[in-house]
Amino acid sequence: MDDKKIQSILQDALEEEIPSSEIKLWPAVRASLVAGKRISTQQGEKMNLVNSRRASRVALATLVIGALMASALATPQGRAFAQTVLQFFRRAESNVLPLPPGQIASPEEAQAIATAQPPAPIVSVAEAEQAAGFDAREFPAVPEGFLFAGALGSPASISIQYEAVGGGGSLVLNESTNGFIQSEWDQAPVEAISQVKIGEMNAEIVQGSYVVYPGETVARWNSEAPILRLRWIQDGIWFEMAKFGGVERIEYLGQNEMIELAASLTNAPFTLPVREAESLAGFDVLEPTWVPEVLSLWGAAFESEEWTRKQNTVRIFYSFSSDKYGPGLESNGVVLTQQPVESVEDCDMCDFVGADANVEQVQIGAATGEYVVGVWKADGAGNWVWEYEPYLQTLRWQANGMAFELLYMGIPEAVTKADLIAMAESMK
Amino acid sequence: MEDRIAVSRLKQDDLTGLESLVNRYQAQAVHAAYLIVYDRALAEDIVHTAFVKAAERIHQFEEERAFAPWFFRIVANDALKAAKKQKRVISLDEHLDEPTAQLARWLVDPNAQPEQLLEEKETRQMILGAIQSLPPQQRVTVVMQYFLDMSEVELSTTMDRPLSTIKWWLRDARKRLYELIRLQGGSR
Repeated sequence: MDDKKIQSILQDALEEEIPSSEIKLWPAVRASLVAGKRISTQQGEKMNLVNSRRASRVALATLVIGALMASALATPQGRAFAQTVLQFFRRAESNVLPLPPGQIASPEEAQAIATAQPPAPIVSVAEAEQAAGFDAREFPAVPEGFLFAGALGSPASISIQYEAVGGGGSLVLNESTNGFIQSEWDQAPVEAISQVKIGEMNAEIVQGSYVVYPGETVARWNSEAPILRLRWIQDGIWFEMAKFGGVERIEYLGQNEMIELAASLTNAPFTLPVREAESLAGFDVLEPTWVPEVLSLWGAAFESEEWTRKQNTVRIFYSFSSDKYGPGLESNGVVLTQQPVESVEDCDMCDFVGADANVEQVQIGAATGEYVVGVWKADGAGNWVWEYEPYLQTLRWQANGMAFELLYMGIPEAVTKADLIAMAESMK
Repeated sequence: MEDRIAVSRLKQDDLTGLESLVNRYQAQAVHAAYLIVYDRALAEDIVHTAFVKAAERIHQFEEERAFAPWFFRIVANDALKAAKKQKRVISLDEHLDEPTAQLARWLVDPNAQPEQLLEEKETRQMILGAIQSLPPQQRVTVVMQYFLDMSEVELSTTMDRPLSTIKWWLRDARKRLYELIRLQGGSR
């Protein structure tokens, strides 16, 4: 018997299991590309490919929702129907929530449950994006009264977290391609839910929370609880912005301000001029005098040592642009991060990666640096492991009391290890 | 539409190129993925995602190369990852019935002649079972060689492994199947 024979038999066997005539993937593949803002539906139209791996089922679901909305909004009855379709918060039947025996939680515990996140290391937004498989939207600047606290990333979801300056409050931006958290603690009574608009987008906002008062076996809705949550769906991503706490520094952030903040979300958060970031940081910020042709300076960001970082930190973003690789890759590029380093314990960029990562020693002028390819990712069991990912290259080194990091996210051959080293060596 | 033209159109952001590739390779890809994960819905998801990945990475693809091996590498890698999570490897002491054992014997030695068995419908299912009994990595290699008709050299390129490794995997796959037969008392 030859290979052709066994191949033929295998094909017959598989044809019995899954008839070829039943395999019709094109509509779903097309939907995935279109829903990811890679618009092209008709022959002759163009698409705009970006590097994103949004879950296909979600993309298809988004298209279905979009189609429903388009038809629903065509008539007055439809518009009324559409309002009932767009319910981002689960409606509670009552403002009293019975608790199962043995599950009585304090208000603090209730808040913790409602905002529970899967265990994950605090990482940069870029790393969280890699873990989630899609590009996060971020605020153009850290919202007033808050400090960036870090990001969490897991397959299909990103959580970007801010803490109120001095403590006592927080702001969390959750983005997911898998829908909203819909736990018992996340629902709200109908009367507490307001339908609002973020630009042209429908959204819902809720002030308050279910809380369990001492000695009670039910949770009661407290509209005065300092928890404000805004939910909407944009480009196939489920967004929730939640503010916790009501200390004076963040008191200004009410419903209208939350909506304005949501409208300001962008894929390109580096808005400061480099010199302004330098002024805020209080140290001389170095810049490369050479960058690869595919990169150009976008802007800078400052992160304070007061909360987010162990030292004041400046990040500069060089956006990717190349005719060769086509449009839509502007969110790719290199992030240059720098901060003073006094000791390993007080350095954000001195620890590195998982033990199974292939860390390579490289020479950057007189300094020895470390180069690695990959990212932290959650495995099927929920453990975080370092995984080879060619789209993410990191180069770290130290010189003159400063720690530096060049993080490139994008097409591997467009910016190489040699390019990153050359960038590093040109820093002045 | 030829693959090369389809790829060229796709590189020019024309989705008709991708549609042509999907229509040409979807069935073969789903069947190959199914042989690795043995779950139809999962196999379709894997191939769906592979086409999206291929579209996203098409600008990295050199047009002088053949599209199919490049694409099937994406499918095979993703199917392999999924299969590893499934951990659905049949243990060596698991019972194999005689038709399966004979088919396994063929994999060990392609000169064997069990045609009379293979003509029976139920035996076709036994082939699927025999391949399923392999560990995921070897399953991928065997599937790509026997089902996708790839040579060892193409497998080496597609799997991004040295030729010696591919040869070892194939040899080891056959050896494992032989071991299955030996343990259940099959004659050889």
